[in-house]
Amino acid sequence: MRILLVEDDFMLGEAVRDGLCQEGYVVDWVQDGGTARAALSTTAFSALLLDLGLPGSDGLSVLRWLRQKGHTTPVVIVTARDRVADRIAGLDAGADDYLIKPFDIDELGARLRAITRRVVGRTESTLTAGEVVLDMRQRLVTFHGQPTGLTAREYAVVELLMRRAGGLVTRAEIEEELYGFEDEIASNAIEVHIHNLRRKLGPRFITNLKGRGYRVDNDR
Amino acid sequence: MAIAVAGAACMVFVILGLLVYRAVSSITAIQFDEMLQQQAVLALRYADHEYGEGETVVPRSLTTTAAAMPFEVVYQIKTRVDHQLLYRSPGSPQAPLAVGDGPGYSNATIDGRSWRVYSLSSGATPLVIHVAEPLAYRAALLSRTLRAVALPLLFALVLLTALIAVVTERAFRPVRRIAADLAGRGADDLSAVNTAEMPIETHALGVALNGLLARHAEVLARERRFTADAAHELRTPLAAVRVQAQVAARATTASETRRALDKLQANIDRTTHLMSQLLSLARLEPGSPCGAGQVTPAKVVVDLVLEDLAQAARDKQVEITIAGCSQALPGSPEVLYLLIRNLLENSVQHACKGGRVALEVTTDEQCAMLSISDDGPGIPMAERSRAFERFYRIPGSASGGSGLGLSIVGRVVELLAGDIELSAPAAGTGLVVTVRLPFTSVQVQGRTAA
Repeated sequence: MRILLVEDDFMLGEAVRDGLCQEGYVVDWVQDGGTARAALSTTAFSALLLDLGLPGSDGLSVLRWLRQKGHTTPVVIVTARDRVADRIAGLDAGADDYLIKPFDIDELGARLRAITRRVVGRTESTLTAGEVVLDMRQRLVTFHGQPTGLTAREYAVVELLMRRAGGLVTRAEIEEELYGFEDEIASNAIEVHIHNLRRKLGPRFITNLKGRGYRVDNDR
Repeated sequence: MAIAVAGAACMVFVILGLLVYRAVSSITAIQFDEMLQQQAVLALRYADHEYGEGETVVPRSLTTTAAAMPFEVVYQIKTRVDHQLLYRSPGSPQAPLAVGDGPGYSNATIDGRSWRVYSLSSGATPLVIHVAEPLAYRAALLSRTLRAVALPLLFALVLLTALIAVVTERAFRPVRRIAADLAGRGADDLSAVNTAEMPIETHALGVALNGLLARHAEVLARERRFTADAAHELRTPLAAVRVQAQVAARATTASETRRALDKLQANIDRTTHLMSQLLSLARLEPGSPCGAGQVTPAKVVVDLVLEDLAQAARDKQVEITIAGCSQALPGSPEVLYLLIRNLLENSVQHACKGGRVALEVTTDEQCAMLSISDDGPGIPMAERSRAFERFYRIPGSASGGSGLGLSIVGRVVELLAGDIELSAPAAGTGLVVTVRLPFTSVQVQGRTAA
């Protein structure tokens, strides 16, 4: 899951980025409204974490701009503005959730999972494909009922494939999900992840569609 | 109030009445006595004359004289030698009116009637005359006179009391209205009271009250704004502290934990700095003591600041040069410390790595000038006017400052009645802050003494 974090405070931005990375999210962090718009125009994000008090253009105007362009990317507003009127304005502008500083990073993670689930139309928090069960709440994958010890990035690949089970996921889409703007990507990185996943979750779990991408089959 | 004034008016009228009574009664008594005496002198002269010519019966002249008098005067004439009554006028009592030969006044009560008597005896003839007038007659006359005076006085008293009641009621109506208005207000309703209909005597009070209310409202609004801003601004650093602490707790490797804890420490330092900056700003409310009659050697303050900033300057390899520190500056060490500390801290924070920061102090007769310059990015022209706003940070600056430094500087300059200017250096980038602080007359004396 790739998240765009828009936060002008250096220390808070750094802390949230670190915290979400620990949970296996890929975080792109920008510090002003203009850069946020540029990032949203070029990249598909699973969710947007938006501070309201930004230098230059206000967070709310970024949100309105995003919704005007027809983007349905889930948005969580993270702000120090705690008045009810501010919350209503934020939700009216098209935010999916509203979190007031200071907040708990676990809480932020839970809200992110909730709104991304809402977007794909699921309310339960587990995905199943054959003997592989993915628990989004605990960010845990079991195979034959046993924990599998996936790394954060491996988990992210499995979640992306299982969310779109039955459909094709391109290599570029996986790269985008796994790596931020500043990450260096080794040319065979995705292949290495897939290889490791086959070792941990059985060779038939992921189908390789040569030159096009990967697929996890629907639960039969 | 009206009752008290009316009561006082009544008292004044009662005292006035008593004084009038005393004056009138003593004046009438003297006048009546004088007439009594004249009557006696006149009557005795006739009687003497006629008695001397051998007439033993007191002649008609006296009777006619008595009849012509407007008084109820009676008299008795007797011989001086054997006190034999020669004549008594009609209405005179049988008993002698007085015992002595006179001359002089006396009072007598005969058969229940009180008389005022004047006795006179002549030197030439052996006659004594007692002229008397009933005291009741005098009293009746006196009371008639007093009634004539008292009625208009009483009328004036009633009129005056009514007038006082009406005037005071009208004069204090706006005051009562304001009192009711104030009594019905909530604790934070500090709007002006209506002074439109106040009479001139109480208008000044209303105006002064409104002045106080306005000042109080301003202070309250400032405090509220400050509290709201402060609470708002503390949320972000606290969020960072909290999240960073969680990141540290969830770290799986020692180096990850170390890194997170270092960041947490930096976060706590930043929050602490914000708190102390907020406190400094709160202490610099308008009207706070700033050492109006005091001068402080620049060196004392600058040395303290340099000590505080030494570490930060070393970390950034910024060289700080100081010139003109032998001068004295107007103001207390506390406010001057805040001024110079925040100016230099800002400069060090924004200077280039390995750059330069300079502080120069110059003074003349009227004022002291501080000039602080750095070689950082400076503040764009369009942003300079906003730079003194609370929590203002230059867009894009990653310094993590509190956004209060220049606000504090601005507040100190305001307290010391000076002025401040932000400009760009003649060559290259950077910021030059020029502060001008005037000396008051007391401070000028302090300088020469020092």
